[in-house]
Amino acid sequence: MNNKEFIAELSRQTNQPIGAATKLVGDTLRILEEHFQQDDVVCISSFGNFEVKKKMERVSVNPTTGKRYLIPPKLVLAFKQSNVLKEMFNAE
Amino acid sequence: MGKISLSNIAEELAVRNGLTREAADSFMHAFVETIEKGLLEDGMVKVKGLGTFKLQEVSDRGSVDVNTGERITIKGYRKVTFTPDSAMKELVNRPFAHFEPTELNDGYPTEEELVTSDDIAADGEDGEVAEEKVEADSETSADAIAEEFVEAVAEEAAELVEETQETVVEGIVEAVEETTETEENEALVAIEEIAETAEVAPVVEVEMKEDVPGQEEVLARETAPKQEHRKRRGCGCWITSLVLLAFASILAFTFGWFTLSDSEESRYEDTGEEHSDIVVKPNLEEELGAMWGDEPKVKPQLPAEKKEAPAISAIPSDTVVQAAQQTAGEMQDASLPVVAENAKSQMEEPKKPVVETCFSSVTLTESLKAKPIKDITPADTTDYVMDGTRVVHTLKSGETIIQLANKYYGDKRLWPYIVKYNRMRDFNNVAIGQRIEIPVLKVK
Repeated sequence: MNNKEFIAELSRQTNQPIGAATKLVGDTLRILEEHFQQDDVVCISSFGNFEVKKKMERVSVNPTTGKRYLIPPKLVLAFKQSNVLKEMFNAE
Repeated sequence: MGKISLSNIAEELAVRNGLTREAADSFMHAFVETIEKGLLEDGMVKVKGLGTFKLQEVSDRGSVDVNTGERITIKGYRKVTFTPDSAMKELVNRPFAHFEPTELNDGYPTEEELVTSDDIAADGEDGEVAEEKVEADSETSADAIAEEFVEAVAEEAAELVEETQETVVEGIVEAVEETTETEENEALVAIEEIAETAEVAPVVEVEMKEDVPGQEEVLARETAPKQEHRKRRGCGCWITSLVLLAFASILAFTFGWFTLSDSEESRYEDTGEEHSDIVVKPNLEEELGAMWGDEPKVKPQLPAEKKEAPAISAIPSDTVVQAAQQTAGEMQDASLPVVAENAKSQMEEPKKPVVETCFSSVTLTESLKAKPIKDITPADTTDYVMDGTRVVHTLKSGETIIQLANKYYGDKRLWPYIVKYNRMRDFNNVAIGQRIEIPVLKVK
């Protein structure tokens, strides 16, 4: 399911035109982004948690040249599914 | 930094879009349910601006029951993975976006950093170098070069002069050995001894000129320092420096004599002994220069003038003439010999290039040319490769790496090679007694 299909499905479920649904999705993402930038953990019960995690800097070696590089620290967005979601997909 | 639930987001969405709270809430639930539905239907959902949710199979894996120790199998399952798309990745990482991977070096500064810092460090160096250099003659490399020169001098002397001059050369050889023995002596003592070796020069010159008829002018001026010299054999360095000045005055006089009157010069050359005397002199001085670690200081300035006498046209540099004039000026200030000598030694320090040009005009320079470092320019300092250890130097009190470079290579700008070769982490902080390996430098 790509983005287009996702919005079409969403508009069908909420009985809204696709344009309105697209706008709402965009606004929702803006809100999510703002929270991610403030290091908030977004907990969607029955789905999972979105969390910004900090990866520390590290030294890595290029195996072909043998040169050592310092990889800087970075922030990544991580998702961990909830148990509800896990059971939903694993229920026989 | 807090926990945000779906209802919080719905609340904000309602405020932003003017929706009712219920409508926003139901939209957010629909949003999540749609993702779940999509995952159920075809295993992946792509939401632009957020990322991709995927359903992934985790296969069965074997494990051991912690309590019973039995081997059990953890059943495979499906899990939802999430990969943020690039827009979201960049947005989240914005606080650290300015970092970039950097290549690591081995802990010591790179070549470029050293070269730039060299200029600053070198400035404070010059004042003390004059005295520090005196110790340079104690090292094996300098000794080897000195011996080469002694041999060369001996050969030339045999060709050119009578037995009297050979004895002079022998005297020089002894003096050289004496000087090289003063390894650990203080700078002043070394200066004194070298000055003594230099004393041989004026004496010989004077004695030989005494034999030459028709040289009254020369005699009149030169016997004075000679007699002076004989009286104060036992006196200290004070008088020694006086002799140095007298010697310098003779040189200046000889130089002026050559340049000003051609007729007299021809007369000078007619007398064989006088001529050979002048030939030997440059050799002697050069040998002294070599002894001084290839970095001619007080003495080697004199050969510059001396050599100019036999080969004036060969030396294009005006500065040499200036140097001669300066020395002549000092001759008049001989009432303050010690001060004058100190001033002279400091003054002569920056004149290295002049001495080098003179050296290149002399026949004995082959062994010097074997050392390409002589002709170095600032841009050349990165043009060498290190090839093995030349000598191991044990640091003494007051020595720096820059001084070692000056001592062994004749150019203090080459000190980064020593630092690099010894893998020194802090070249500003070295210990007395530390062993420094001096690399052999070869032109790339």
